[in-house]
Amino acid sequence: MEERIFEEIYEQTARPLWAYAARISGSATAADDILQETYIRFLNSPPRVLDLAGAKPYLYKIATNLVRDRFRRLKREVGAEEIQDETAASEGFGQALEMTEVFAGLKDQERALLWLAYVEGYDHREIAGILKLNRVSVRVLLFRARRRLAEALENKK
Amino acid sequence: MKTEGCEYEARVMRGERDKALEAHISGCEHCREAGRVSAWMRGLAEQTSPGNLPAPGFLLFKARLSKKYSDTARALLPVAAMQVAAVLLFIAAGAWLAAKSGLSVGPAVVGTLRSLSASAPLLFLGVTGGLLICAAAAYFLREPKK
Repeated sequence: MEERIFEEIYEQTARPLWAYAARISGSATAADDILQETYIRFLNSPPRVLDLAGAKPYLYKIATNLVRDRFRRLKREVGAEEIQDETAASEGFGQALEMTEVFAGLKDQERALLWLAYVEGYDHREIAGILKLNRVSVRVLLFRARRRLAEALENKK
Repeated sequence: MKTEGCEYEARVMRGERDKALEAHISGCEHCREAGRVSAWMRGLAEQTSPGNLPAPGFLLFKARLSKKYSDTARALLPVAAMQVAAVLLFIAAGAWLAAKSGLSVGPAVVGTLRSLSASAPLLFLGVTGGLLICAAAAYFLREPKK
C-alpha cells in the first residue's frame, strides 16, 4: 500500500476510530492497542478498493472484531461479572464521568449500534456490514438500544 | 414492538431544526427520543478524544515487521512438520527393527542403532528426508520477489 494513501486514510479515520474503540471497549488503554492492531491488520490485508469511503467501514469492522475478541478473552480469564465492572468503571476518560457511566451500562453491541448510527451516521445496511448482522436485526436492535439509552437518561435525571 | 422509523428521523438525527420540524418533534415520540439520544451521543463523542495517536510511519513499520514475522512463521511450519515426521519415522523404524529381531527394550535400542548404521535403505531414507527438509526450508525461506 502506498504510504501517502495510508497517511491520508489514517489522518481522516484515526481519531473517530479511537473514540469508537474506547467507548465500545470501555477502556482508553484498550483503545490504544485496538487502534494499532486495527491499522496493522488493515495494512497487511487491505480492502480491494482503497479509498476513504471503502476503508472507513472496513476499519470499523476490524476494530469491532478486535473489541469482541478482547471481551471473549477477558470473559475466559476473569469472568463476565468482572468485565461488567471494568466496563462500568471505564478507566481513562477523566471528564464526563456521568455520561461514561450511562453509556457503559449498555451492552457492548448496543454501544456499537448507537455509536455507528448516531455518531458516525451510518445507515442500517452499513451497520449490518460492520457488525455482521442482518439489516432487519439492525433496525430492531438499534430501536431497542435507543430505547434503553433513553430510559437510562430519564433515570439519571 | 413498533420499530419502524419516522420519515423525519434522519433530519432529527442530523440536528436539523426548523419550525415545521420542531412542530413535528413535539408531537412525535419517536423523533423526540431520536433527537434526545442523538444530541446526547454527539455530546459523548465530543468528550471522547485520544491523547497522542501513533504516527502513521510507525504503524507502517510495525505492519511490515508483523507481516515478515507471520510469513516466517508460516514458512517454518512445513519444516517443523517434516522434522516431526522424520523423528516419528526414526522411532517407527527402530520399533520395527526391534520387533523383527525379537529383542527386549534395552538391547533393542542398541540393536536398532546397529541395524540403522548397517542398514543401507534406512540410511538412504534418512539422507533423502534430510535433503527434503533442506529443500523445503530453502524454498519457503527464500526472499519474496519485489
